[in-house]
Amino acid sequence: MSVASALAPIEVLDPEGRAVRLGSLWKDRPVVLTFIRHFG
Amino acid sequence: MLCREQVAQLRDALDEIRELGAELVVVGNGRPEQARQFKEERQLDFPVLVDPELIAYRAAELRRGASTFGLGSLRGGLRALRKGHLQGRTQGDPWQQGGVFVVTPAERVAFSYVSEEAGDHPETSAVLEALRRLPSA
Repeated sequence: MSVASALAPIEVLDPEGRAVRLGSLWKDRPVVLTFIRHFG
Repeated sequence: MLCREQVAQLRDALDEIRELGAELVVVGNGRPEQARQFKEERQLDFPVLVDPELIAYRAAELRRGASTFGLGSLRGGLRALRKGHLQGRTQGDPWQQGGVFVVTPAERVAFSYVSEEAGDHPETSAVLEALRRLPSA
């Protein structure tokens, strides 16, 4: 399974605390998915 | 300072990313209110999301470890300092490393970069090149 398939069902939170399924982000277009170490 | 520098570089590339038909998404290690503050402070108009339990970080097989303060990290820190990116108070898990993936609607990973330590980021030009090589772009 590719990393993308593994990530797709995972839910993260938007700044308002709403769940966002990662796969929904790249459903319609490519995404530069950047994991940062930390905020600050 | 390192993450600020990375985000600043990506923000500078945002127009080009969008011209290539893609979007930039940042996932952070922290809480929603930190993402809100981060977005507002830097006036970012792309999605900033959080993964407080690091589930996506693990699925992406990103590193978590003690190499945070290696030599490369120090060099990156000096470079960031020269460019004027001062580090804010560190929030979230300080041991979690980052990475960058270009993911297509077909769930193909067209580019991936797993950071080994703080300040270890891919060149923005390499990310843009991966986008240019996509069949639809």
